[in-house]
This record gives sequence, C-alpha cells and structure tokens, in this order.
Amino acid sequence: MTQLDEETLMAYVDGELDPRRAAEVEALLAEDAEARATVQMFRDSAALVRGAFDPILREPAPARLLAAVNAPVTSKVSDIRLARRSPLSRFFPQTVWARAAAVALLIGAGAGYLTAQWQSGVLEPSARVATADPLLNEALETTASGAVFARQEREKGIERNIMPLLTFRDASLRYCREFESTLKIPDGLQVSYGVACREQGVWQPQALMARQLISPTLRGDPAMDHSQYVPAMGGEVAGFDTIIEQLMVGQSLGPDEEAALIGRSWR
Amino acid sequence: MTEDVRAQMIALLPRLRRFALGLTGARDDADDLVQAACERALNRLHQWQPDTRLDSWMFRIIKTIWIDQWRSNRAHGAHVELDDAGPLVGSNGRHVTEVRNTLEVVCRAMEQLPDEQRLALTLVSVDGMSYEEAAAVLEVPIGTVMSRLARARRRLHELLETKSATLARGGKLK
Repeated sequence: MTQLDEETLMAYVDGELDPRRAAEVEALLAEDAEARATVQMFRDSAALVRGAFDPILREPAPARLLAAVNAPVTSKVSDIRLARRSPLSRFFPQTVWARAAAVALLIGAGAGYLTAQWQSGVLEPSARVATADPLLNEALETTASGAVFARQEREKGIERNIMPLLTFRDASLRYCREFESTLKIPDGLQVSYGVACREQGVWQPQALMARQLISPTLRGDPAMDHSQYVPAMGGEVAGFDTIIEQLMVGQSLGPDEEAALIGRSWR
Repeated sequence: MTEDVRAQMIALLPRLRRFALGLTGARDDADDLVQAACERALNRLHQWQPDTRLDSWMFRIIKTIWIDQWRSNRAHGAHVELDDAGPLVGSNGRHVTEVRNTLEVVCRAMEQLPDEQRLALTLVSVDGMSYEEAAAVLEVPIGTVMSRLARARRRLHELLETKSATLARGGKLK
C-alpha cells in the first residue's frame, strides 16, 4: 500500500476522484490486496451508516416540527427588519465577501465608547472613541425607517447611504434607531450596522459593526470559492441582534409614530 | 419570501432529522435539535442570502447549536433508549442484522467518535454530501474533512468489526 494512502482510497470509494485518477487507482488496486481490503472497509462503512439512517427519510415529520416551521417569528426585531435590511448582494454578488475582512464592533460603555477589533473571533478592547458623525446624525434625525439617506462626495469618489431600519425606546426612554450604513469607496464598499440613541439632541452610536468588502475586480482569493455558503455576516449579526434586543424596551415604533417624531424633531 | 422559505424548510425536514439523529444518537434529542434550528433560522432569516443554499445554512445552524449547547448540556454518557441494543461487541451476530437494531448499533458506535469526526461522517456518509459541501458546512478545508472522515470510518469499522460487513452485505440494507 505504498502508493495509495487511505484518504485517496476513501475518495475513490466516495466517487470524489476525477476519472483519470480513479483509473490510476483501479490499476493499482488490481495488484494490492491490502488496498483492496481498505476499499472494502470504506465501502462497508458508508453502506452501513447510509442504510442505517435512510429509513428516517421516509418517516413523516412530527407535528411539532411542522408547527415550529409554521410558527410566527417570535423575535422582537427580526421580522420587522426582514423586509428592510437590504440584501448586500444588491451591491455585490455574495462571492465577494472578504473572508479575512476585519469586523469592528464598537459597544457603548458608560460615558465613552469601547472600540473593539474583532478579528479571528477575538474581541479585544483597543481604544476609546466618541467621534460625532454629522451625516449619521442628520440621517437618523430626518429619515424614515426603510428610506435611504444618500450623500456623495464626488471629488473623493465616496458615496454614503444610510438607511434606518428600526426605531424603538430603551430603558431610559431614549429613542434609539438601528441603521445600515454603506460607504462606497473607489475600490470597494464598507457596510456597517449600528444602533444609535438620541441624547441631548444628538444621535450617539451605541454599537457599530462594520465589514469591508473588496471590489469584484480585486477577487482571486481561492478561499472565496466556498463563500457562497456563508450567510452574510453570520454569527456576528446574531450577536448584534442580541445587543438590540437587550436595549429595546417594548415594541418598535410604527411608521406613523416615527413620522410624527421626525416631524417634531423627536421631542 | 418567508412563506417560500418555510415551504423549503418543510421539504428539508427529513434530511435535517436524519442529520440531527446522526449527531445526537437519540430520536427525541434529534427532533429537539431540529426544532431549535428551525426556530433559530426563522428568527435569523435576514442572515440567509436567498441566492445561497438553504440546506447548507440549516445544516450549519444545527451543527452550531449541537456544538454550543447540546454537547455541554448533556454530560452523561450513552442514552437510555440505546441501552436496549445490547452489548456492542460480542453480541449475537444475527440479532444485529435486524434493521431496527442496525440504527441503534450504528448510533451507539458513532457516539464513541469525537465530535468533529461524527460531523464529517454524518454529512458525507449519512447525508451524502460531497467533501466540498461538507467542508462548507463545517467551515474547514476539504483536506480536513477527508482526514476526519477517514478516521471516523476506520474507527467505526474497528468498533463494529465484522458486523459492519455483515450488515452492509446482509441484504437488509442497500
């Protein structure tokens, strides 16, 4: 069994080898009894587990699972945002998600803000920032949820879109809004989700999650091949939803309530 | 869109149940796991890109829940319902050729595999995913899937010894 390792034999059994390599393996198998025994072992193990579990497929699904699939969505925020949160594929196909892109998560902490760089799943406090964002402030002050506030700086090749997604009140009765912000820059796009609360007439970011997207012309990373299976932002958004659900008190505001608040400058 | 996804999810239920059973080794636990995954998926539907595969996403949710919660919550060993299957090695060969018991014997053997091997085995050999599809669900390179899968099948063979050959060729199974 010098020329055929176990994994090659397994891939042969599983039909994962290209035809040329499969033919080579077959030729080598003819004169290698030990390899033939290994092939049989892999065949038997696959047939065994497949056969053991297959009857499950023919069983009708239990009523409780059908009920779970048909149940109304229970999350306070998700169903409302479903219709609003823009599919990022609108800007770029899914395959341009940069796997290695840094995700920055800023969480409001007391008076200041804690900045954290989230890379490779490690959350590390790095600096305190409290920079005001006049464009964000204007957008949240004046724009209805689901509508887009757009500003361009042509000379710099920058375009920024801010879309409020949800309006609600927190425990100290501040108005808070979740938003999606996209910043188009010459070689890509930065997408962020955030939540800001209005305090003393200013929308203060409480949490912000950003991801850098590279332009399709910069593609070529072989790791991207699998990214079509990666849901946008995956677990990071899940963490973000938790932040919002913790902040939010009661139900989110309806469009009429929101329009009235915008009309009277949130007073 | 939600209604369309619900219909797709219902169509996926048999595969999800089979996958979950491969992980939990017990039917009630498997259905609990699928139920938790469906609830989580519906609440997080905005994370799913409609132009990607729903099955891969659902399998990944099941995997995540199983690793994050399931394993830590159930620190006890084998399941009671599988105790009826009798001793794994040295039991009557004819007894285990019964289809009803095949599943129990296989589940019991699979419980002895490390989590990552059991995941690879369940995705590829039970569900029939390609190595590439399994790698996408597990978020590991294809080579990693292959080495885990080969070790899982070698170990399963050792655990079941000649039984696996008997069962696989016994005519009861395809």
